[in-house]
Amino acid sequence: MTPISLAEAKQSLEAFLSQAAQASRLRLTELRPLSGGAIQENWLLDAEVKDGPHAGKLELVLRTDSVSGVSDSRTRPQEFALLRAAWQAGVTVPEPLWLNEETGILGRPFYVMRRVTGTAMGHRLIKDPALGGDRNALARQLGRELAKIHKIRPPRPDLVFLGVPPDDPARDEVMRLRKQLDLMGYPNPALEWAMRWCELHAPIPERVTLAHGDFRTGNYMVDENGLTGVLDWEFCAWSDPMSDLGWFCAKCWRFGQDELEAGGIAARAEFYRGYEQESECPIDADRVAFWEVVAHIRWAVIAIQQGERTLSGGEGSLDLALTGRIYPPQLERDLLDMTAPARWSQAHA
Amino acid sequence: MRDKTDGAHLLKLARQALLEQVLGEVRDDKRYLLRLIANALAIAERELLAGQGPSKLERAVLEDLVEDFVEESEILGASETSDEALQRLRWRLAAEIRAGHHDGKAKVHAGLRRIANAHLAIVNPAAVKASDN
Repeated sequence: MTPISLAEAKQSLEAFLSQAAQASRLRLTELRPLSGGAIQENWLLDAEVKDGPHAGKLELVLRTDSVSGVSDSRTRPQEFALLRAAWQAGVTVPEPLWLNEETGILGRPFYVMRRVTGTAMGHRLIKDPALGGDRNALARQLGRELAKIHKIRPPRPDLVFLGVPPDDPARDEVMRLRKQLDLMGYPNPALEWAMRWCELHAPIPERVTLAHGDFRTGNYMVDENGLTGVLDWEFCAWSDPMSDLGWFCAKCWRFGQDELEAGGIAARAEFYRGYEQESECPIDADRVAFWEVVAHIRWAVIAIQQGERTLSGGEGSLDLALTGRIYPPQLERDLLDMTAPARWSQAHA
Repeated sequence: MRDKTDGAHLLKLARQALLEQVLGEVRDDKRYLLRLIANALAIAERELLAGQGPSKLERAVLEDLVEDFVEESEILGASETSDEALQRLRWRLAAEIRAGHHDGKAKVHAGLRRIANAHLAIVNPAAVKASDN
């Protein structure tokens, strides 16, 4: 099935949306691309709806696979299921509205969600104190949001695509990262050192819940009052819930605000307080510390991959090439500091 | 002796011109890209000035850390380039660490930090801690 551009598909899209919204008529007054990611496309849609539960103006975002992209993450129907699970769990997300799995309209599946306002840019949030409202309140709310996500537990018939929950998520993740590094053919003794530390100090497996997988500053949207939506659900997996806390608090995701350990926006204690207000289980700080080490390895592997991608032709993105060049040595040095000899349980002199 | 207008010098001037004369003239949405370009030029300049220094340091540290190191150029002959030699040493130490031969060893840790700092000095010198110099 050949992908069809959205502009060409306006009429059939209106027909689909009209039916989904139980309207007598639906007209798209605005239809334009929001961003052209390598894997997904997001389109802004404004609709005028006549009759039915959505009568009036409807502000939407349509998400579909990009025309050229070969997706290796979640499919759009899977992403929709995750968004719906989160919405039902009370997480602040853009409300998922309608999924179209047929290929008749765009030549590829898509879903539509209600549009939320604000910005997700991490650097802007860090620099602009007018964004995000009270930062301590924002950190507490993010903690509560995360705790709600972690209340989603296996088994879930609507999330079968997530596979069997892992017996040992920590060790699995370290092995996965090791394999990724091997596939790149990039020997890196510093990362090996950190991965070996992780292998020897992985926490004993405990709870497994839904983990967002990319819960960090830059992946949630804020306006001047506070949080408007948690985004980027394509890395969700069954895992150790503390992995999300580690990713959120890791030094590499503080955007230079190292002393603000909760994602560069507030003290860690605020974020933890919010989490524990909502969570049925207390935070295991040692476990979070372990996952912060893993977070640095994961980001280093991603940065190396991004740099490599520009070497093999394809997108000649300066941004990605610089990411691949600048971040790894910094992450390696931070990893070595986090796994200094004194931190090894059987340290050798 | 180096020509006074060598590559590193040209990169430095190019970067200065970009930041002082071009940056203010471009649209807001292109400023980020200009800063990336300026950063790329700065890295290339430092890399040129550092020459073989960081590679030599890394190689010396790795030769000191891998187990039972013998001058392998004797075995491999002169066919191996210095890049290949460096890569081979990285593979060896990486494999030894993975196999658990260096768990928690202070000497290995210190060597790896020196290497990371040498690379960091090229890409982000401000991030090399004062205590590491």
